[in-house]
Amino acid sequence: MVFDPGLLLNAIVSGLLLGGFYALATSGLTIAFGMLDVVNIAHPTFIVLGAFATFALNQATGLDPILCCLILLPVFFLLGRGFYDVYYRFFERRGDAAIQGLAFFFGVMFVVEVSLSLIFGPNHQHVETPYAWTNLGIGPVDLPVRMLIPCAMAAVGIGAVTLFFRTTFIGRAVAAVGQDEGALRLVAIDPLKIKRLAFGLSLLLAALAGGALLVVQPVDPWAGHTFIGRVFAICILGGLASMRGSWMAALLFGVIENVTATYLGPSWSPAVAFGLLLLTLAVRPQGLFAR
Amino acid sequence: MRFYLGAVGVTALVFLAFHLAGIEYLWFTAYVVVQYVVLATAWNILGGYAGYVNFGSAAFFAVGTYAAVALHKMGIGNLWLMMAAGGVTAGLLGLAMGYLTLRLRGAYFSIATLSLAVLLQTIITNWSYLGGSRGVYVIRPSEVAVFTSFVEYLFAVMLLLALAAICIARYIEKSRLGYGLAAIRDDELAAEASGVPTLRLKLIATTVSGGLMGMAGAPMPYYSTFIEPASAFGLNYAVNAMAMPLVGGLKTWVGPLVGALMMGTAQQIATVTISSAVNLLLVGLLLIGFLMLAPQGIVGLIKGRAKR
Amino acid sequence: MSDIQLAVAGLQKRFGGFTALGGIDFQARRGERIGIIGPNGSGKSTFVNCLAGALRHDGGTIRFNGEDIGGLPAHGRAWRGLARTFQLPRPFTSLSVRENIFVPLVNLGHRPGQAVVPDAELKDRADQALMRVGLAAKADELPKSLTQVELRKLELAKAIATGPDLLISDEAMAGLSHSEVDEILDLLFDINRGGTTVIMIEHIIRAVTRFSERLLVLVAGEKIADGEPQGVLALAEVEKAYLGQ
Repeated sequence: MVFDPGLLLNAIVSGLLLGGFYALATSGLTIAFGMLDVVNIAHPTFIVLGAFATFALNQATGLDPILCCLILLPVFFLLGRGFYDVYYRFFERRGDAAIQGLAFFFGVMFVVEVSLSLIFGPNHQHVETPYAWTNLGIGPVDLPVRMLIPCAMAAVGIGAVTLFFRTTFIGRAVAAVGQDEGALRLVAIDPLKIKRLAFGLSLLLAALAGGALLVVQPVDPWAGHTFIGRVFAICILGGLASMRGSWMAALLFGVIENVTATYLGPSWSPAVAFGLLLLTLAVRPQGLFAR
Repeated sequence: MRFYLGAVGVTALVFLAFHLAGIEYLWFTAYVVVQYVVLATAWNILGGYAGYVNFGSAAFFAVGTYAAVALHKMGIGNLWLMMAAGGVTAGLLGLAMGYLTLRLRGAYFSIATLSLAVLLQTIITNWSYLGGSRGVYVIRPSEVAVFTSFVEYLFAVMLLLALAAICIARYIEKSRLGYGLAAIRDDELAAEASGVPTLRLKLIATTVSGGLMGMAGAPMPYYSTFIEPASAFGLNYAVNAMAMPLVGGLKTWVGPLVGALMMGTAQQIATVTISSAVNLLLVGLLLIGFLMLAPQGIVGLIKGRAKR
Repeated sequence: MSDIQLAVAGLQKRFGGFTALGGIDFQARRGERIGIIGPNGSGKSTFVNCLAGALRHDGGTIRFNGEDIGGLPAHGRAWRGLARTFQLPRPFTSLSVRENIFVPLVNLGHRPGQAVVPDAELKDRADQALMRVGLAAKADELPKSLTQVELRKLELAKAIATGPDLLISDEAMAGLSHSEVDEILDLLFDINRGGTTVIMIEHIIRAVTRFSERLLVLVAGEKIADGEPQGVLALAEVEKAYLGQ
């Protein structure tokens, strides 16, 4: 095979764009798993739920899918808050309950997926947008707009949340609650309220990723499965609780996965994801970018 | 000792009852329920006893199925060899997975098992020797010595495997290994401080659990005669292997048996009357419901009543 | 034969950029009663965890009965006769009180020079340990029905059931009443009389001074004093570190 620098360059650039999407998909998990220590394995399924909700709204109203997604964000925020309430009430305990908590999210994942397939059918759904198939070209590099949009959404979404964490009082409380609940209580903040808010944010980001996913490719109810390994691998690689870390890990991941897909074929992508996950767990479970 | 004799006796009686009934379809259907008894019992050895949740039961089960397919392709048709191959392959898979992930938090092990299923399904789908996505056809022998039909033979073999699984589970539960696993489940840090070699015990549990699941998957080529990845790695295996012990009761060998018999039978009846998707939905809802309201399972509920 | 049972040299532990233990030197002789005190965050629990193997240390050596145990996991150190209790009691919640004692007992066979406890003897040996700490009456109950002081006793029973050479007791008396503190203290004396070296980490000064033959003071990951209790407590640095908090 002749080495084609243009092919490699495009593979890397697409990988970066893909990584942008992965960053958005992982950001919610960084909050839930990294900061709140809630092993929400249903997170990718919530992304798919977001995608389907966006699809349904788009089909019903004819509005641009991204607009639909934005409309749905508050809904998912409230859903996340409610969810955390249920989780906290039944499962936020130590030891014995850890297995129950995991099983709970597995059950949720399952119920959501099957429900989606009963409501929408098991096939892939997609949306048509006027910009979906346009391409920006810069020199030898292709920048498909449908990949740029998720990146833009990622940048805006993650940027906004990070700003929220750094600058507002409540935001800093969220960042702190994972580390020292007791200290929060001393400043008269109810940790439960903060955790609830944080989980709401987690699902909000999931919904945002869902909208992005719908723009990128057709979605079927079971799409979450291919992402589980990926988002957890990225989250762990990025050092669990660090938004910046997960960004960088996501970009790295996207590039590795895309370059592998370009040269070995796309059907091996899940293998790459899993391989990286195992490698991370075996060699450096605290992540590459942890401080 | 009395237990094992009793168990053998009960199994023999059950088989005799089904044999006398003489209905092929009955054996065919009961096979599935008994298979779930094996899966649920195997899952519980790691999940209920040690507290490590395996979301990828389908992976171990399918590895057993495809090990059997591979043997068949190589010209070996003996069911017992297939089961041995399935058990060994799946057991080694469990050992390898465990070695890589069990030194870390339980959550990480669970996440890895999720990805494992996806990974293996991808590999098998791309492996044309084993049929790939097109699938592979296996001819079921038309007859076998002693038994009325090959299907009855399969049912008897699965019944025997279930007996073995339950005996193994009970043995582990009551043994020193069982105390170690319970300590790991309750408080792994304290278990280590008390001298429990946690990694070693977890690896034993993972290997035994995976191996049993692989053995349960090995007769599938003869049972369904057509094997393809989507159904071999089906979600019903993953969710049932977990839901049945959770509904039945995690801490003893009785729970998985009760859960599998109840839910397995219900699902077999349901698939005839309602769609399989709705069926799975109900299983999922049952799982969540029991988790929230009756975390000790049916066995726990009964024990609670008995105390009053 | 040296009667130095535990020899710690230059023990270091870092968490990211934070140095929890800066290089601790410490020795314990067979049968000694040693107390370790220090303000919150001084590294006492980290020290215990590094000794017991719950944490991997980053530098220095730990020799126990002449053997370098630094590379051993926690259970391996327990097998060599090094026992510890936890600051917050960690009972096995799904097992009965007696069965809690079974757990260390079934692993006794791993100890060099010790035979495996036959199944028939398990119950008796467990009950002996429970009697020693005064929990015999609760043998069949679940840990959730035990009081705070009873949970502390269960912690101790689990640790001493195998007859360890060394016991590290991590703040076993925190939050107990005056008379409960005395109960635990008497237990520790009794354990020491049986031949076990006892290292006691504590905040309660009167208990530590009553118990210890030797007193160590840890401040900010460094050992600032090591000697006879009254003398150590009179030192200016100790007063400043402790009472200045």
